Amino acid sequence: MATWAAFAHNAPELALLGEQLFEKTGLVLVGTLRKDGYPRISAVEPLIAHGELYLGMIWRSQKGLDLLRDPRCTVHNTVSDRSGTEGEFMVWGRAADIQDADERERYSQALFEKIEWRPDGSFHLFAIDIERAASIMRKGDGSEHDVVTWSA
Amino acid sequence: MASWREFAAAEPEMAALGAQLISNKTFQVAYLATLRKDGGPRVHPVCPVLTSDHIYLAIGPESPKLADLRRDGRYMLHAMPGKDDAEFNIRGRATEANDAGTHAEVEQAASSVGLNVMPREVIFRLDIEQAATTYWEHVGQPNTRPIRRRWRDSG
Repeated sequence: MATWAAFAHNAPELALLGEQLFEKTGLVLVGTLRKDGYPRISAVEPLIAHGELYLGMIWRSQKGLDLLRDPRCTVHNTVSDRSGTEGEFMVWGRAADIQDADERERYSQALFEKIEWRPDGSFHLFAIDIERAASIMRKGDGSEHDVVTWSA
Repeated sequence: MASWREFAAAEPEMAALGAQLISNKTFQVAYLATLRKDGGPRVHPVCPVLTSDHIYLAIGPESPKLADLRRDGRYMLHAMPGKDDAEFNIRGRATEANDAGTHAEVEQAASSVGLNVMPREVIFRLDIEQAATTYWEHVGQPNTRPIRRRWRDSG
């Protein structure tokens, strides 16, 4: 398990690509587990700041409750065309529930610097402890692809 | 579990948003969540194919999601968010439907929206237990809030 900073230190090219792909759309899809064991996908705006990959979520949202129950998750970039030539990037790991008031304030400030908005009132904040990361870059018609993986 | 046709008959507006977001001539990418062998979630982009009766996926034999679905058919399919972040998702069970007739039907439906389904790809039918749409009010403002609609198959 690794923080984003530790991952980036060990696999700088993959982390840079990942950050670029996350930032390209500003939206990621998070896979979580429902109470009944089914998988769930939800859209979230990620923030990479202070060496962590943060996911802020609406208070008592279903994805937030999923992660409090079972922290296993996957975070996938959003692609915008079916050829997939722009690349895929994903991480697997566990979501740590951040309760520390100072860290939550640093997150809120960093988010405000980025999008001029910060959460008001209660919200869930998770930092992703990364187990594995991967990128898939497709060429041309999608028949060939390069896969790069990293494990903590 | 309902077929796409049964879902669309019960909830035409929700199905229209879904068809627009996940299977049309300009955009066919959606995200599929499956369960890994260890029970953790997996998320992959897919290009669903709609016929008049069903929604299908064509999955390459080398894809980890093929083994996932053969082991445990529970899935969730989430569209890429649309205009003003409108969301659409369905969940249920995926069933392998790789007979020659279904394969040919899916290949044909795929080509009508500009997609290529290869002979080696394995066809799965997505049966629907629940569907949901979300529209956002006051997008980009401090009082952004979701308007959710949910449909559940009664059968």
